[in-house]
Amino acid sequence: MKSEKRKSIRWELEQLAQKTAKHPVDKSKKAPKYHKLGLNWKDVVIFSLALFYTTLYHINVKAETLTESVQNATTVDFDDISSGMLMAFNKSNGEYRNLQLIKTDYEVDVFGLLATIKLKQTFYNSHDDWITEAVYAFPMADKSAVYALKMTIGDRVIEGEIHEKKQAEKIYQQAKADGLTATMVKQYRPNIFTSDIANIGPQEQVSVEITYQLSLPYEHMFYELRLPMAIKSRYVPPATDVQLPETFGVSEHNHRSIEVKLEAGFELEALRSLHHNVDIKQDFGRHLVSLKDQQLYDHNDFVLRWYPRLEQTPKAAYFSEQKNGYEYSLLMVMPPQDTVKTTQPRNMTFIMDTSGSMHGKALTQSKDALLFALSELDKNTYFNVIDFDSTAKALFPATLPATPDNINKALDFVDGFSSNGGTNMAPALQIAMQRENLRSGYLNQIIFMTDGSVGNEAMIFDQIAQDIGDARLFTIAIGPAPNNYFMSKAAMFGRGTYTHIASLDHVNESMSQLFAQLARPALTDVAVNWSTTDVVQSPSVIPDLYMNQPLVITSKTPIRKAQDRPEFVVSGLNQHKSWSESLQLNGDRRTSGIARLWARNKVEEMTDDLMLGGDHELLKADIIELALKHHLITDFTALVAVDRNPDASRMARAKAAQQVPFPQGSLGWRWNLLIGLLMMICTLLIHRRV
Amino acid sequence: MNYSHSQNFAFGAKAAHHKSRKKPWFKFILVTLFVVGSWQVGSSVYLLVKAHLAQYLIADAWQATLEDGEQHKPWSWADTYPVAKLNFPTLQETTYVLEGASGRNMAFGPARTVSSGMPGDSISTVISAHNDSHFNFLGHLKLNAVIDIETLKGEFSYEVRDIRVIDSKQQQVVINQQDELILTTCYPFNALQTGGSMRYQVTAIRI
Repeated sequence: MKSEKRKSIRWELEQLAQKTAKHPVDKSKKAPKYHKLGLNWKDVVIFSLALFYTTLYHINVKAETLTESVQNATTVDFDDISSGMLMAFNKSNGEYRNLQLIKTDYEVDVFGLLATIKLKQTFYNSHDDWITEAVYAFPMADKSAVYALKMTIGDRVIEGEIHEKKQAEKIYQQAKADGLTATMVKQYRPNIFTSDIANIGPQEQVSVEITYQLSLPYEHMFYELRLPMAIKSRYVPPATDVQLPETFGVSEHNHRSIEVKLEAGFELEALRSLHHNVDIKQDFGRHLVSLKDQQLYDHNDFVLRWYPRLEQTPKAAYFSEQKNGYEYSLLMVMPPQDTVKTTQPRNMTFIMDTSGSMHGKALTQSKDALLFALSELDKNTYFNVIDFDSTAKALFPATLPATPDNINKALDFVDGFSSNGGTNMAPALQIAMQRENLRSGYLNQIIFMTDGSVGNEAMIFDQIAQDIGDARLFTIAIGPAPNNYFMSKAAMFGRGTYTHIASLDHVNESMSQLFAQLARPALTDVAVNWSTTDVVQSPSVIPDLYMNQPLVITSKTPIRKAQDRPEFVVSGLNQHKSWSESLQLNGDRRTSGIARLWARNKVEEMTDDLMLGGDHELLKADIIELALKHHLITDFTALVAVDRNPDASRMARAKAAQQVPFPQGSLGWRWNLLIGLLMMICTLLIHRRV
Repeated sequence: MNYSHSQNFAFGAKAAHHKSRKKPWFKFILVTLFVVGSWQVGSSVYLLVKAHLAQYLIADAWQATLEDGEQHKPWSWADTYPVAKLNFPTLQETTYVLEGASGRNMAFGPARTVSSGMPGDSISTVISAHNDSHFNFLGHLKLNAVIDIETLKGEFSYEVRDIRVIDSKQQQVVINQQDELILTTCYPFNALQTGGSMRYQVTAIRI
């Protein structure tokens, strides 16, 4: 060994000497060839280790960014959901993935002021495995009373029962754990409902039918039926905590049908659908309206309006239902209309939403509406403009007279609006309701243009109710699918009205209607005096009525006290002058569902009280009692349907699907470490030996 | 690298080369073997270091979560966050639980299966970790031992009632509608070869 080594060193030296002698300058060129395979192993090790760790690092970083971007792309919240949608819960990664929606059917029955809507959506589990849980969210018309749920699986039909929310949750969870197919419908927001569906078999079809009722508004000489087709995405300020599940692969539905059976109770001057093509058939006093384009999908609400013949314009209408010893009634009265414009000078503050959700057409339309409003101002009127997205900015520090100069400044200000940022309403409303922008002795009117995409609704309502004072808040929604609940409720708390402008063609028409309303005094302190006692009326305090707005109330009277020919006196204040009118109605139209409407209004009143800080426990108990009695879904109650009679094998299969696979149990570094060390030691030994 | 330096190295290399000139590929095999060997060692060390260092970052994130009640990622590009702190008083071991029992998360710490529950709910909580990193002590856990778990809802104590080995090819984790804690890891412990189907399952009931 030793001699060999010595020999080799000598050989080495000789070689080196030869090289330097021959090519003293050329060493740099020769060096690589000289190293050839005899690369220094330490260099190789250092180099390859470096290479290895860089590669490992890059692979890791890549994997992380990849998964991150995938997750970002698929995080969708409930508020982005377009219409009813079923999402299945994927247990391995905690995401919801959607089921195929085959059909959406609306079946609407209109009787006078009352509409009963059956919304049926049919879903298909196209996967080969069981879906343990799916969540399905859908928009609901404003002021609707949801009271029935029917679930159909194959040929089994299961009716839903009403329960207190906690109880419902318990029943549902138990059924889910037992492998029973179950549905639970809850109110997520006042106009968004969700249903949780448990244990849907592979290749199985499930349909969920929800029935709800609502009273139709009669305003500006027409009745209107509105079916929301989309839920507008909401902006929730970062500080507010709203927990929403994640959704995966949300897609739009492919088949939709809408059938309306309309029994108006009077002859129609016109019947039209605002945004969709419809077929209209007449059958004696009835009209049958059906949607033509069933494949079509858009975000416009389905809006149907019907106009009574001028001579038949209703002055009052009365519907009643007898149930459990009580007579429930729905009363609509058109108060006497005063066409004289108000003499009181006005002070108007315009608030404009320029948040990201208003981007595009909505902003153009709002600008148009605002420009129209500004052009209508006379010089005795004071005004100001506030624009907000995440922050609020006012044109003037305080309201100024509408001189041509000031108007021009305002027009420039409005022209400069562009939409971005969040919808943070509170600061803008605060500015509008603070002292600088209010004038005593003036009619203080705040005109609020937005799409109502907010999540912290209750907070805003609270703010409005507290700070509105003598001012009046008028909301104007622009765009196809505003948050109608928010808009009308905000106007209610602000004691004004809500105007919805769905498309560009209607801006001028709707705005002039609103301006006519604003220019005329409201009827205040409206009250109804019944000729009988023990009447529980809802709403108990009637809001101010503006031009062309009817008074609509529901009431509950013990039957023995109810009269065949209801009599009452409607009174109120019109510009500080009192007026009253006594009414006796002949025709009493019996129908069902009035009791439910009354209960629903009562619940809404109590919910408002809750939002404004009423006694939580007391109100909650009252709401639950009322809701259970009238089968209503509220904040505290839910509908549950459980398929109690499946065959045993179905249950077993569903249950089996609820188990989760064991996660991996070891990193497996020991084997690698051992093999690696062995290899390294071998190399070193061999190297030594040779 | 300066000339004299490379020359010095070249010396040693050439010395070896001299004898192995008959087999020029032999050197290559040696080098390859060494590189692969160090790769193996490196990757296992990397896994271990990652697993242990991550716990410190996760501990910090959990502390932050406890302070403000919000989710905190242990490192900026993480797609998970700590949801609980597990404490084994009998073994004097503490570890932090991440959300989502994916292989990626479990490399950093014990992880909760998303479809299972959380302590305090009447549904099983399933937490899994590797038997050669964060749950290497699980085999020492005795019946009736107490496990404490701290979540945002407060502290919960569980008592070990059942320990069993299950073949994951034949059985899965059964999620029950009761407040219980299920800890799983691979079985057997200290095995060289991993990836087998046997699982060690500890079930503890809320006390």
